[in-house]
Amino acid sequence: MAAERAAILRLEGLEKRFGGVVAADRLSLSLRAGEVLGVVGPNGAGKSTLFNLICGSIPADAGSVLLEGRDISRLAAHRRARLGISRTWQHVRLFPSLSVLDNLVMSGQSYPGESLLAALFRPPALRRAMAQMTRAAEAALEAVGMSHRAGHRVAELSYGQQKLVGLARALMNEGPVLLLDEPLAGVDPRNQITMRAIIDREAARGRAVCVIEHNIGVLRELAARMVFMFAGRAEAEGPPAAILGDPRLRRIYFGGTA
Amino acid sequence: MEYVLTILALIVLWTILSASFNLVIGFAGLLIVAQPLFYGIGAYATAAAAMFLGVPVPLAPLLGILAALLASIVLSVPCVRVSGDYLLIASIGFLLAGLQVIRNTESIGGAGGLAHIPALFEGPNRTLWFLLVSGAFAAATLWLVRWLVSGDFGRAVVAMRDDEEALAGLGRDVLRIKVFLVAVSAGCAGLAGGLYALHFQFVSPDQFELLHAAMMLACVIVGGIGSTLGPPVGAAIVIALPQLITMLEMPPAVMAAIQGMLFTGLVIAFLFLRPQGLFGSAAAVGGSRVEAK
Amino acid sequence: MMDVTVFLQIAWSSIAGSSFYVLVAVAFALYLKVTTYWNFAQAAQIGIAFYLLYALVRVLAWPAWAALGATFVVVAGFGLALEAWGMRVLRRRNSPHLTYFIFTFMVAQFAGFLLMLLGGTEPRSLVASLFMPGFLVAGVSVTAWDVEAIIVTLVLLGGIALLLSGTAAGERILAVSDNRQLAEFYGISAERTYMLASIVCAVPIVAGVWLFGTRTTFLPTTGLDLLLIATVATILGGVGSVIGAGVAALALGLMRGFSVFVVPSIWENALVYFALVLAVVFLPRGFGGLWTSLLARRRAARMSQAAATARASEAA
Ligand SMILES: Nc1ncnc2c1ncn2[C@@H]1O[C@H](COP(=O)(O)OP(=O)(O)OP(=O)(O)O)[C@@H](O)[C@H]1O
Ligand SMILES: [Mg+2]
Repeated sequence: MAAERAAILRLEGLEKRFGGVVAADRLSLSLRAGEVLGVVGPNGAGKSTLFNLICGSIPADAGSVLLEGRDISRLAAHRRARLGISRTWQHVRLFPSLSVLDNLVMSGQSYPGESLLAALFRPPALRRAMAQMTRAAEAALEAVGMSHRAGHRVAELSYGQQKLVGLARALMNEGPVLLLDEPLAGVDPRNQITMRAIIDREAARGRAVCVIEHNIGVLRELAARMVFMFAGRAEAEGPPAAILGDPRLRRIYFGGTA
Repeated sequence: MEYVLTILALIVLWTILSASFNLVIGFAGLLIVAQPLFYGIGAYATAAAAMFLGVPVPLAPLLGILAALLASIVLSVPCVRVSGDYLLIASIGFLLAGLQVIRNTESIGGAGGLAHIPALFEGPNRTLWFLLVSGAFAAATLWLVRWLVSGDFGRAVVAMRDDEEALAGLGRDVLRIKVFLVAVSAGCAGLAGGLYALHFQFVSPDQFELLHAAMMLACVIVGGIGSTLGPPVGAAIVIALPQLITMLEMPPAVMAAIQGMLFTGLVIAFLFLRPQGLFGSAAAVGGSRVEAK
Repeated sequence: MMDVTVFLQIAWSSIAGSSFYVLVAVAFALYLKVTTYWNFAQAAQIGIAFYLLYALVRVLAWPAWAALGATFVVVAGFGLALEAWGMRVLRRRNSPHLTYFIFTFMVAQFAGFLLMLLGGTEPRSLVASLFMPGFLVAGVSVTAWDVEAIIVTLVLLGGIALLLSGTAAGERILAVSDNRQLAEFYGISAERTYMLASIVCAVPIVAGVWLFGTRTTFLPTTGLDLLLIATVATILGGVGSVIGAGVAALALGLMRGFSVFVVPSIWENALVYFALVLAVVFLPRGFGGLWTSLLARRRAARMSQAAATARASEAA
């Protein structure tokens, strides 16, 4: 069944070093349409770095990222997001000076308010486009059950609520790739159910979803396929049962050495 | 009376300068301190347009604005992608290199400066008229800064100051926003330069030194970095305070030194005793904000 | 076109004449390496050092060694005061980098004005006459100042290198500059180390000012000018490399010496500043960084070629 699905995002030989630390070591992976790929591995394995390389926040030392066959390795982060690579961050990173709704409003693939003409003249067309954006943002907030917090400042939210808003912000981008960095960490059980439902729903819509998670119990239910990372390498890849059953990987995960 | 009007006119020009400077360092979060060069380029281009190109005097500042704007793009397009301190260093280099070019260009007066620039207003009330016109431009600058940092575009500007990497990851073109804000800011400084040239009728490279960047910083810090009301108050204090010293009878060299110590000392005092300035919010000067590593 | 003797003469004079640039650049780069701040207040230290030396040597006629010792104490004390009452307060507040720049820059300007008030605006020098008799070595004129400058610079650089690599204090400095958190975890006080670094920096500053003042004239604004050249050198040498900054300062000195053949001297300063802008844009990690990134690019090209062949064979 996995073979029928088209690879939407392919990584080929990604490499990244931070001084002496190898954070990505010849990483080659693909994300497939409609599939949830789980990424596990001990702290410092390079999981978040993998996301940063895909979305372009940090440049790779070598290797390429292909989105639907097109090489996007040289595009800036914002161009990649506009092409439909949407993500959340491990530490959420909402904009603290803005309200919850404002955090969402400008996070779509396009944002009419960004144009320089709009900055200077605020034409009526802008107002109409923005009204539409606001409706989309309200819908995304509704989906994560945070509508009642729309006008609040980020600082007034609990950490778990911020994670939900972070997910809603990523949902504003309706592109083919969704990258979620530890979406469940710090979220209470009731909201975890909401999150999981959304992840399932987005995959069912045909998006390629990639989830980094330390909560392996949840991830094995969500993900059809898993990658185990260690020291910047993809140590193993396969169905969750195979990955989680491998005693060597368990030793790495819990012992921290190979 | 004439003296007071002249001081007021300077305060008004420095309001334009510091408000637009604040747009870059306070709102865009960019450490670009080449503002005196944009001011100088505006002044020189305006003077040159009026003197050598036959542009009607009231229209000459348009060329000043344009020249400053273009100069800012030359600096910002290659430089805004480097961050923080590097940008600061590059902008200092750009300022000093630009001044050196002006000093070495004899056709615009070289190091000696350019004199006999035609005046915007003639007659006994020229300072009053000038004050009114530049006051209107200063009000327009304050309004423009407010306009840009509020509304739909301003939302992106605020988010950029909070976390520009996240904003870029969400699809917003951070570089373009920065280049735009720097260009607007430089254009305003160019306008101030044009107005200055057409009233004081003499410009020289010594008026646009790194020292003047320090003075603009002083206006912004005293008024409150990242506030829209701070710059005029900061400009008033930084320009007017040294004038009080001139009441005392002192040799000019001594006076210049004391005036300089006064405004730099004021900034240092504000940095430690009231870092948010008179009107700013604490958020803009750190406190809780942690530099992303 | 340019005969060998002229070439050697210019090379020799520029190497000797670079000595104070090298020393100031090393102080600037060392402070940056340890604390991550561009310390423009070192311009104030330079200014204080010069005018104090001037007062002690020219006005009070102290012997050079006593004047240098006293000046070192004052300049190092000033650095310590700046750390304790300035930088440390800002660090406690978690201030953004902009604030450190404004603070150190304003201190430099303030000191410039203060020295202008005390010392006037006329150029001054530490010796009564700047004329230096030379002796000929293979047709090249060598002065006592040249020899002194080169020896002092080499000795101080060697001393700093020894301090950093061979002593416990140097180990602490390097540990904090590598990773402040980790160093503190191992019980090294970062604040104390910053203080130590600012004392160490006072040595090349005072020596550099001495050499500068015995060769040419000084103005209240000279401190910032020297520091700007140090900044260019630090960037060209690669931030984090103290030796790199020193070498780059030497290279800048040579470039200025030889540039007279290429550009008129009025463009010399402009050239340095343009070099600064270009260095930041194209070589933000200095020439060392250029080398590493070239290597990385070559490797990346090989990788993507390999990937392309793999894809092609997969398709076939
Ligand atoms: N911007 C950076 N600069 C320097 N080092 C970095 C940077 N980002 C990551 N690293 C280093 O790269 C390694 C991989 O980090 P990464 O954040 O990708 O790990 P992770 O697998 O997400 O870990 P965790 O489970 O703790 O989130 C770590 O050693 C980290 O310190
Ligand atoms: Mg992580």
